[in-house]
Amino acid sequence: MSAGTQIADTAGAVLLFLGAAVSLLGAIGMVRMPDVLSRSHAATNPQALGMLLVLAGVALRLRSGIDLGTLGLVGFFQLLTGPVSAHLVARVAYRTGYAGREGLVFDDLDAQLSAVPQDGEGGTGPGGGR
Amino acid sequence: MSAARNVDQVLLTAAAVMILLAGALVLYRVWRGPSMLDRAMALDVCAALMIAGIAVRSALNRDAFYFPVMLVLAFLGFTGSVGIARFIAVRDRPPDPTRAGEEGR
Repeated sequence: MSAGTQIADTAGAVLLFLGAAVSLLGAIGMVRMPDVLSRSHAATNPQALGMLLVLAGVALRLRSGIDLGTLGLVGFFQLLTGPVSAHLVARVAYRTGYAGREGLVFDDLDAQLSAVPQDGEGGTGPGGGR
Repeated sequence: MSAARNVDQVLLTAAAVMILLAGALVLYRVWRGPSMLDRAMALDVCAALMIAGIAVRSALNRDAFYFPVMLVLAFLGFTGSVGIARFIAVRDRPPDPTRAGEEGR
């Protein structure tokens, strides 16, 4: 085994280690954060940065073309689907009152949501869930 | 060369241990989580940690056998939390004291 491949192996192992460390920090944040939105902030850590670091590490250790393509697809779909679920969870958390409103500095959405039932009938309102 | 390979082994084993520890903490959040939304988010992170664990295993053994499993998890890992957020959490009201304060505002 030549020196170049050994360097790539070790760099891949270091990237995997860093990705696992970021994932562990995100999990610790999920346990220790106080409410849903800040836990969602911590949960993004292993989903985006930790995942990309881990995939880059594996790509450096397995250096063949089709494996790189599969790893690229994994990273692409992970980055595509993470914001969807985070957005839906945060939306429902706000509208059902789990968001911890006393910690918010600005709350422009509250005025708009409160205005809906007064203006027209049939509005779903803050707890409507749509 | 052998020393560098030992360093690789140590780093990868430490990565596997950290991912397992992170999985344990996330499962604690699933068990403990005050609302279904916390559990949904923790399940999302759980899918991401499964992908990371399979990646560490592939790097240790240098095979690509489980890469399709990683791909499917990256596809479908978010469906559980989307379903929970869309259909279940609407009926899951927050605890009474804070809600009562919010209603009176």
